[in-house]
Amino acid sequence: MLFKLIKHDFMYSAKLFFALGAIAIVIAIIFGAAEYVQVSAYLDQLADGYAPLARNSLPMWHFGIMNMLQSILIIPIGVAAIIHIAQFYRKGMFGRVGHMAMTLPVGRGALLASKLAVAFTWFIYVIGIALIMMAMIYLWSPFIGNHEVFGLFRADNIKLGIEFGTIGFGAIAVLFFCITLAHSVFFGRRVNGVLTGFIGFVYVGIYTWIADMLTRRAQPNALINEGINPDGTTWAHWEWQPPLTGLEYGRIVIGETQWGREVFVDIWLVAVTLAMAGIAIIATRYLLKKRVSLT
Amino acid sequence: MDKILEINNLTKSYGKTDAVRGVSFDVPKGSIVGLLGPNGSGKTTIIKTIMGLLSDYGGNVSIGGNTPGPLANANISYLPDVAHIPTWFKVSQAIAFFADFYEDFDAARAETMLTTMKIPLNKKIKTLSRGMQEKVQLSLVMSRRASLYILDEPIGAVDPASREFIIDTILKNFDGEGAILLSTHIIADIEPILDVAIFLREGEIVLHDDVDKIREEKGQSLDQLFREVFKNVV
Repeated sequence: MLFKLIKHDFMYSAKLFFALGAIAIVIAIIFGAAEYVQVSAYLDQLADGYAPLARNSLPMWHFGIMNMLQSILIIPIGVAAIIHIAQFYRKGMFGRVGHMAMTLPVGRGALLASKLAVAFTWFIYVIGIALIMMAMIYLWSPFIGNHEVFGLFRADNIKLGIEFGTIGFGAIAVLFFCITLAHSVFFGRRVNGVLTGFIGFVYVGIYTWIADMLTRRAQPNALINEGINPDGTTWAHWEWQPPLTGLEYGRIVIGETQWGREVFVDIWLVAVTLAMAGIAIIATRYLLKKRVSLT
Repeated sequence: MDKILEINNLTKSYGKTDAVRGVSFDVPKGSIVGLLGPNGSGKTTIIKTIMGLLSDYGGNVSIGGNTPGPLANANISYLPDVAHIPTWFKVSQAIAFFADFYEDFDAARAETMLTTMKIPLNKKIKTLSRGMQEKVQLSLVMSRRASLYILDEPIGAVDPASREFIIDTILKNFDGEGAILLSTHIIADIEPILDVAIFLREGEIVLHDDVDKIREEKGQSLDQLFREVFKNVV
């Protein structure tokens, strides 16, 4: 009976899965192209004999636009996950703990297990998308074959990995929803709309904040040296900086010459976080309002 | 007579509001029992309790010896008072769904009923009219060979012509082996098929008897009596 539940649950999810996959691939292509442009610009600077201290010393507008682009491109996946989950509540057969699901001759454990199976699949799915996107970027990278600067490429990959890894928060959000779902299944109560909105808020907030913190802290922005080989290829020697403590991070943000850029990025991220949280809350409340009441 | 459903001293509150207060009744095999009362009298709450949709209640509910839950649900064919089949289903998918989950579901019978009503099987439910959607739901529910049919307001939101069809469908598909518990506040159309009537007011039973006996003793139809009993209830 559990397999039947899962089968029907997936029948509902299939179209959204494919649609999101297609969107993710388009995003990956755009993202890859954007990275290509950015890295090419850096290589051109090296070729011209200009050795920047770090990639971040590219013009601010460039940096800002790239961050904006990254946020715009990555966040929709998280938002899509939220909307999908909310959709489960609105019309999902087993997500919405309505009459259809509750009156089936199946145990509540099976009902919950079915939902968890779908949540797990979502987790695998978003990680899969992340891997595909990373692979796309790898294929587009102009650094391939240049071992001297491979460190930079690897660092970029790790940074991206962390960013995409935060998409995994989507899966955590799914699990949160499952907890509320379990409450609903076992106690026959309707899911609290405010709680759902709060989870959406926490998810988006944590997503954006941690992604930003981790990527900044993990950047190998200690460029020891770099230059151009006699054969025209470029080389660079990067060293990893140890992770910064919160205080150190704050000192750099406020006290160093990069403060303007950092503040700009922080304002941007706060704005995005608030906007996304607002959208998440409005969307979930709207969708829940339309849901047929359980009791 | 075998009892398919037994309810003893059922109570249920929503916060400080008592929705059902000490309700007790049985549904014997082969009978059609009507839960009759105005809106807010507790009909749907009682049904939801039987179906396991509400768990924090007082008293005892027994369906063929089982408490509300998956075992009991296997023997109950339930038509809720809301659209409960996902509307993105095609009619044929809804049939497949019922066939998957209910061993007593007769898919051929459902298809025949739906075809007779000229309901296209390859159309999504949401593209059908409200009346057609109701007919799809009822056809699926009545195509099961359940021991208990629970129909919550089966004619509550349909036109008189559709009411006739629904009642006809219920009767045609009821073989007397099971029992039917149906709730409604529209008495006149349902009265001819009822064996037992239970009047509910503010969560309490105010009348519980055989319909023929009520007519004989009171000298009026069930519909007339209902209007009299509930005339001051808004």
